[in-house]
Amino acid sequence: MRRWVLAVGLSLVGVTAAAAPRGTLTIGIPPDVHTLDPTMTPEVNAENVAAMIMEPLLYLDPQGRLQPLLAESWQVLDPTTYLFRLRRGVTFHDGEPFTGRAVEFSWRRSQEPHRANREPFAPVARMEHLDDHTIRIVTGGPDPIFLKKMANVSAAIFPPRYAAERGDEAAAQRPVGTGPFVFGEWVRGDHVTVRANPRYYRPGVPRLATLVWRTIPESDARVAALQTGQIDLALRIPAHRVPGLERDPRVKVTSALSTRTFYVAFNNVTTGRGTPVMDRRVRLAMNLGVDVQAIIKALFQGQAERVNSFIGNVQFGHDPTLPPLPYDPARAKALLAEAGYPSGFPIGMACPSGAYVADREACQAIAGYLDRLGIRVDLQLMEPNRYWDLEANRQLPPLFFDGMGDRFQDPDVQLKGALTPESRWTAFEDKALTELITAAGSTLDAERRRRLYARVARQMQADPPFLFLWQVRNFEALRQRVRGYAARPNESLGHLPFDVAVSD
Amino acid sequence: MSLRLAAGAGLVTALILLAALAPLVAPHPPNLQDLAKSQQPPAWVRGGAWANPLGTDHLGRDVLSRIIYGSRVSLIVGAGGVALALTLGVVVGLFAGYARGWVDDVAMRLADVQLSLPYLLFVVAIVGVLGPSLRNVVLVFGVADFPLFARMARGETLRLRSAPFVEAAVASGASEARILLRHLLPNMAAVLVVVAAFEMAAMILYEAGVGFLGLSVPPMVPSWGNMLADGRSYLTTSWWIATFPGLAILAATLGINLVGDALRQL
Repeated sequence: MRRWVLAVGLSLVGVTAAAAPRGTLTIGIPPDVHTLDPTMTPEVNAENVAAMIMEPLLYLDPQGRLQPLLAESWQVLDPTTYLFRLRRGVTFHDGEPFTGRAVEFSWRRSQEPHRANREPFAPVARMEHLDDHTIRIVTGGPDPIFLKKMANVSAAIFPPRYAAERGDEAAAQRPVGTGPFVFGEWVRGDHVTVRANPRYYRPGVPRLATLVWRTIPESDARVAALQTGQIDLALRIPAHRVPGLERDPRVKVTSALSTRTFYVAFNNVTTGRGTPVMDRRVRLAMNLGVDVQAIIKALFQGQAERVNSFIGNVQFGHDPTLPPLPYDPARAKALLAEAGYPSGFPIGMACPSGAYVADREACQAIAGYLDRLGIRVDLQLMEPNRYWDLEANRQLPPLFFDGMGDRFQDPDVQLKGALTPESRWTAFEDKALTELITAAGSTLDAERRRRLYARVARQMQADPPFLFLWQVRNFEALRQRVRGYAARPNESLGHLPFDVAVSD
Repeated sequence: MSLRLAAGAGLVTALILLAALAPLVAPHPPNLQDLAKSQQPPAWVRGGAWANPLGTDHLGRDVLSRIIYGSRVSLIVGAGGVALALTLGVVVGLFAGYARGWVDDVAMRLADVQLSLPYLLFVVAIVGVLGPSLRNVVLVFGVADFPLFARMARGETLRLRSAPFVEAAVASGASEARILLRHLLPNMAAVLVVVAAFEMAAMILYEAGVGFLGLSVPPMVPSWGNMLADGRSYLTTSWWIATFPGLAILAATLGINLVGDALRQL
């Protein structure tokens, strides 16, 4: 296992050697940015903004290879011991030097109980400082994707002095990091601006002088803003707008099948206690009673894929031999009758409005199908950030719609994030499932791990924690002046400082 | 002039009939979803069919049927809201105008406070706390609109109480209740009815507005505001989803306003 990984990643930026950053890129994002502290939100748009300012130890490039970032090189000493050589001479934006102490500080900080994103640093048991810039990290057990987790912005390195002096609020509102961009301003509900970091340690990075993230919740308003040139890049475009955009010569469309897997979660921990969703047959019936393919065709123009479980079709461990649960309303009705609800029941369901493409419409369609089973859904549409607050506190109704994805096409993070009791986002607890997920997450052998995830998927179909839906093709549209941008399956924009530029 | 009244009365009658007879008139149940027929255009457009004369929405629900059922929400909010505002307003206005003194001061300052709050802010705040439902919308609209009627009723009371026939009634020993109910109220009814008509039209419009913001009835209930909200993201591809409920709002408010206008000129 002893193997040094060389700093090949420097070649990554070599092509644009030392060109000064120029131009402004404006990105239209759907939900408002909630916080700029990546340990406090799992929302990908907020994480993307934070990732411009703060950096983790490693970088996962668009090809899925690990590259050096704050760590110049790394070595796996044994299945639970990692050695990182940190980059020297790096300072945070406020002048504080970056050392191994900052790494340890960030790990401890990220594990405070109120943090929403404890997962990336969670495997760490202790850190040993060999010197200021060499650190040995020991994990509590083997973790097959620990290095990839170190490339996650939720494992970003915080400046200890700034955090100590200015407190948590400052870290969330005026973040300081080592990243290619420096925080500029944040007008809540409107925009966040970041500017090129003139002292960034990689020459020629970033290629842009200014980056503006504008909140435009309505997808049609985003499209209009793009067409009028108010923004250069519009994320999450509904599929039915794509043909029109492709005819516009000023605009180009890019797309990727997203790792984000959508579901309607059942709550058996708080609000769902004592409701019919406690019954396995009811949850199975709901899965059988919704014609997911018809929804994909009508609302996504067919640009989405049915999933067979909470492991996405582009993720490690996906079992292509396991068919998705079929649409079988007759069996669904029979199951409901067997469970003692022949004429259905009323139940609450929540849905974010404007967080994802067609979220509101999808929830209506699902509620429409459940209605046919006699399940009378009280649908509540909510502003996304309020929605996620309630979700993190397990205060949403017994049914709620959401989507979770991951950065490296591996189901570990989302499975643990939504289905193990340690996570704040878990609304459904099932011991058997948790044990399987934990076992798969600590198995190093890829083949054994794959088999474990196949069992996870089968267990999920037998006793569904969710109503399984789809993963969508993400459409993004950009002005012709934007160079070097392409949609990515994980919706991450971490490559933006290295690759993206604008022409006049 | 009589043409206006006829047109207005015709529209209002049609609205009431549609709302009352919705299950008989509507070709389909309003929430019947058929995704295979999603975004089907109106019958006269290529690709349309007479089974869904005004086309279908993104979930394949019949637009015409939803408009017909949606008239119920509009009518209940319009009529219910105005009835509540009128009742509250007349009671407060009558007493304030008749009693004068501190009762008048307190009542009118309360009305001023209410008037100083922006309408939409008030609605957003209250519905945000109580949750969106038909009852809450009626309640909020009624309370938000009552100062208008209170001020009118008070003004009329002040004007009428010095009229000779009221003084005669006082002189002949009529009780206060009799004066209020038999002499003052009937004489201000004409003015109040005209204003009530205009306010009802305005409330239908407001309901659609707050419905568009997701603050009126729950999202699955067919209402014109909800239909507008649903249709906005399809305006460029399926114009009929939002256009027809928009026309329905136009027709209803136009009809009621025409009636109000005609009443005013009587």
